[in-house]
Amino acid sequence: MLFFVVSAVVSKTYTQELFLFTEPASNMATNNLGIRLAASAMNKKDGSGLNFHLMPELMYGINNKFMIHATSFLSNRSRSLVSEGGSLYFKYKFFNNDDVQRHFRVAAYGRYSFNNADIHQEEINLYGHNTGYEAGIVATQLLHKVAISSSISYSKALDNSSNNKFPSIQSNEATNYTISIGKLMLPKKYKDYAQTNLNIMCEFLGEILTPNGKSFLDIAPSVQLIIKSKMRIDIGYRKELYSNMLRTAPNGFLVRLEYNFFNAF
Amino acid sequence: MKKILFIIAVVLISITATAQIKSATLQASGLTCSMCNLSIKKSLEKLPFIEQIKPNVETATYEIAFKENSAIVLEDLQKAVKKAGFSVAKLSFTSSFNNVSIANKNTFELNGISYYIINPKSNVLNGSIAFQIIGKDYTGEKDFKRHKQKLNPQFVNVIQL
Repeated sequence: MLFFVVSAVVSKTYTQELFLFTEPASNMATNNLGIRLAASAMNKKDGSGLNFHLMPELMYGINNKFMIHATSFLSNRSRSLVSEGGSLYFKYKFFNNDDVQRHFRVAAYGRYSFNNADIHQEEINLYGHNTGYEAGIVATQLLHKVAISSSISYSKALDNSSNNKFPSIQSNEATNYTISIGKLMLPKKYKDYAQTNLNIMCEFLGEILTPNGKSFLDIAPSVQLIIKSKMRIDIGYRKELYSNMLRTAPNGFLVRLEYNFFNAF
Repeated sequence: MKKILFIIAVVLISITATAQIKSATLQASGLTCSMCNLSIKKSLEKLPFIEQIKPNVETATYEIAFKENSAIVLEDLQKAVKKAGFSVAKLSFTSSFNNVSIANKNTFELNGISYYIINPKSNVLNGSIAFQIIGKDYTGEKDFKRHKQKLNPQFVNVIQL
């Protein structure tokens, strides 16, 4: 399965780097505004149902090097859907080498998240679970028709709230790494902006807790539709490949809608 | 009478001197996706002197028509592509000339900008002529390296197409 996905990704025509589970080194255009609504439904390992998270997000391109995201996290962990926190993410592209249908870009990024939910797993996840911060570097290579992106980051978890302190027996620091590959399946040849694009992507998402050394690695294949060159519909499935840490609900679906406003202000 | 002749002469000279850039063709680099392509078009459309843009999504090439009698700044095209997060691989423009002599210097002036022709084809510019700008921000890396030795740093460098 893994070999099939990777070889399919590398062998064919066009590609995209608009990944579902990670951000590429490329930025949004200056003064473009993006609105996202992401929903994840993850199977609880104890068989007690689904963890449902809803994550509305705003993205804005400040200039060609700097962009920000603001995300709100809602979840059903306390039975009804309630707001648990939010996140601010920024990305600074500091290296850019463009050529026709190819580029190599490197960006630094940072995230601060806050969350008041109970801490129920060893995994440090700043996307809807933990309060904390993250700093990392991402490099993206578009090689004619294939895009590969990879990131490495350091994250530190803090107390979620005075009632939900970070357990002192758990590691509160982590190194995260990702590898993402993407490819455009359709159209075979562009004619206009109205053509729907179909992309497939495959991402690998890993974390190593420090100092205790516990780790996991997930695979996350996804499909993406881009409609009228303005709207994205992404559907992905995240599956744990291995893990030796406590994770409540690592496997499940992520669906995301995105709409872009050009020259927003 | 002398005064009228003088005014006519001034008007004629100024018509020659303000030879209008008619159109441009821009190829962007660093992208393959149609969403990226559209964001460049939208960024270009914000410029006040743009009349119309015909994009070729496959090649990321934009045929640009300018508004008549507007102050066209070619540098702003390059800046608009950068703002969208991409680069210019090629920027060429067509301009009309009325017997403009470039003898000895290989330079001409257009909208207040001085251009240096790397490969002059005659001593006089007449009629509709196309040029490609050669510069780090206007040319793909290979193309730029090819012309690097011949550039005149005091001017905007162009090759006559």
